[in-house]
Amino acid sequence: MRRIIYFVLIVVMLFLHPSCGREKPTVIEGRASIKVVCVDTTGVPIENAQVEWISIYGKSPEPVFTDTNGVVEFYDLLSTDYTVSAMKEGQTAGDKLAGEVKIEVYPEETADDTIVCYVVRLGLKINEIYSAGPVNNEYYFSDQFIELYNSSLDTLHLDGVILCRLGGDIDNVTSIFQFPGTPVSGREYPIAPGEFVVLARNPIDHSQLYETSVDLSGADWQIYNPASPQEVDYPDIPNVTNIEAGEHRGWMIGLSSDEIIIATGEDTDYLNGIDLETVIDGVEYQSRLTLEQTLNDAIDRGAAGDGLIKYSGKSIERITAGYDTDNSTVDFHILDRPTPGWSDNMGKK
Amino acid sequence: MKKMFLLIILPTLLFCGELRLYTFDYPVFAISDEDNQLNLWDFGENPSWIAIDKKMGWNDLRMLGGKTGGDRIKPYDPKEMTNFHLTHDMVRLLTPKDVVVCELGYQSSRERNIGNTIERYPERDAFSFTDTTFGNRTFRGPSLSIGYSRKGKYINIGALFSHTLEHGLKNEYTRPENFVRNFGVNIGFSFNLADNLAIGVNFASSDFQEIVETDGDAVIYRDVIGRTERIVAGSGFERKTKDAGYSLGFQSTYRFGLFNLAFLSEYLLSNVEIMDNFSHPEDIVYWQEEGHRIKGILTLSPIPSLLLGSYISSLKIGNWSEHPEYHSLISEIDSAEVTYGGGVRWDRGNFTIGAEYFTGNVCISGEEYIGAGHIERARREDVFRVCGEYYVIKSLPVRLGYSQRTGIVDRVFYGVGIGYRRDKIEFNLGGLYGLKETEEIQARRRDLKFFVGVRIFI
Repeated sequence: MRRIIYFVLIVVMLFLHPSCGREKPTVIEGRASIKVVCVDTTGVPIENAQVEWISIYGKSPEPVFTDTNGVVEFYDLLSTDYTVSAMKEGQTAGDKLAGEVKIEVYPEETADDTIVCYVVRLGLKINEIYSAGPVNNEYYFSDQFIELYNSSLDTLHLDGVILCRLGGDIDNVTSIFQFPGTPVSGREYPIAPGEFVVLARNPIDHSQLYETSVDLSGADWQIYNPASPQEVDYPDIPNVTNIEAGEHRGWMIGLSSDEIIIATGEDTDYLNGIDLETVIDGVEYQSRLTLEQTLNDAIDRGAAGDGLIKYSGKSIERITAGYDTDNSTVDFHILDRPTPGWSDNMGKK
Repeated sequence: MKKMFLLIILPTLLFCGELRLYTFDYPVFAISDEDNQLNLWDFGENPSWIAIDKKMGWNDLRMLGGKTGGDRIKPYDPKEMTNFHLTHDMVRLLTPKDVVVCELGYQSSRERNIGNTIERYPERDAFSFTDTTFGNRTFRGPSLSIGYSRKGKYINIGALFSHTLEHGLKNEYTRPENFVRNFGVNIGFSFNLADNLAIGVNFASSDFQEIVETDGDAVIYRDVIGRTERIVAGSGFERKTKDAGYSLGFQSTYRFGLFNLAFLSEYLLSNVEIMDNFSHPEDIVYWQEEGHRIKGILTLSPIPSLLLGSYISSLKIGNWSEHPEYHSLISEIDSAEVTYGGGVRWDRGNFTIGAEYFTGNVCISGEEYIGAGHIERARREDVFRVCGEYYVIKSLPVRLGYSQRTGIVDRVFYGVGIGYRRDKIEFNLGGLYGLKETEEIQARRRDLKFFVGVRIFI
């Protein structure tokens, strides 16, 4: 009898061991939805605006257009953070409206929000950034370049404009180069409406070295640091010159993440950062959207470059030349091959 | 999702590599061996019965080498794989009631031209983790298992612990590095209720953990939450997979007349947590399985030289997965597997021949709320084995084994071996040739293994 009691006790103890499992969820994934209303800055609904979403799981398979009340809905979504963007083409170049909103979506719930659309800003833009370097195993990335574009209807001037690389935001300038001329008032270096300008550290044909590199022999400007012993100055090409005291390195930017701005040049006291009011345009790029965005929202509300791979020969470019809603996540896309001096959707100049 | 059916991870029990049974592809009835008896250890994996099962002490040294190659049947099959195991195990009878078992092993495997995967066991769960490269990789590591069992007049107790470590490295950039460990514990009690009746219970647990680290600039794809997501890691990437499995079993053996009956019932619980670390740790998915297994064997020996056996087993598993951040259900899938069969063995002096046949049906149904939607699948698998052993002289047996499996992948297996036993020394030498084929993708894969073992009885 005693052994039977022992046995029963042991069995009971074993079967009463604490469960190591979790409670089964009661809500089902993939059944969330988003409902947004698109309005202009006066609150009037925008009809027929093209609306898309982007998240860490990808992009909306096709754009959807708002109804007469400015409303659009997306169904069967996964729970995560979404950036929903809206765009409405205008009658003229300056009439384009665009805006976006960030929404977190929870399982089996509908997230409601409003997208306020602003007139797309025109002017001097950072249109393309090639930072990744070509496909190679020698850590070669000397073919980096930046392309500027004048999306306005007027001729602009590059005199005194500064090109800065930032360490997070505009209060931390890590490199600063400047166009010659007098900021704002100078008229020596014009850039016509619809014109591209390419800035490169090494304006040579890099495709001779690496097949997936780029020919920069036609670059418009050389980004040059006279204090750098490795730098070669190409006399036929004007320079955007380093103005940081004691800096001996040549210009370079992060291969898969960085923050780049151009500013009028009225404020060149880089030690205490660059005044926000002088910033003309700025782009943050990073290889993964889930990284924290650091650049001031007034300059760029979202980072470009999700999926940009080092040494891939790829670049990031605005989806149409000069398109700027101050949210690089939706303004930029990744190009398989860089297009210095031209735009993928406008053809070569 | 590529796969939504995980075999519940049972404790790693290392005392299962007996070379004689290996030659025959582990028959149930067709060959009688000291490691496939109907007792609570061999049949029920209850360590309390080790003290009764092991009648002699020994030292055993085994070496096993193999090469597998051919077409890729599974997506992450290497083009070619070579592996090598060296194992030393020993059994010590401390007293007539106390037995200690210990096994120490080292294994090395080299996989050539393996594609995309950067996990050690990429097909063991649905949430794969891959890159874009093909390359060679090497895994090496030791294993240790130690157990103790004590038999009493009525109650027997036993415990077994095992620990396996593996380190792997793929030679292709981004050079993913794997750190794998598996710890298992199995504790059991058994009762001799009568001379012909024994019952037992055991609790087994395993804890598997793998960490994968990549160099910078890794381009990684993770299949999770129903979608393949590309990750570009600028400064390296780390994934941690924790897989904990538990089983609680009840076993019984009963002998009556010419019959021998064994019965087993097991509750199984397993959960997998996957955590990725890019810039901060992130819970990617949680997956849980719960199941119940029943297995029964009945043998009849109408005359001493003849054995007839029948087998039935049932395994039911329910699994579900969740998105940990939102506690939302990604999938819920049930599977039911029933296998039954029988076998016959005939011993005539220096000659033994046996055959057995098993057939099984697996039904899988459920919902993948993202991806495939409703799932309803069924498949059948048949296994047929023939085994023969002939003693050329009293101490020199020659062994031949053949088995054939048909199912999603067809497999044919040939085994040949010889043994030698004299006084306190036993020697085994053998080789295996296997051929896997699947008509679905017109692929064929070959498997060749050699082994040698020396056992010295104490």
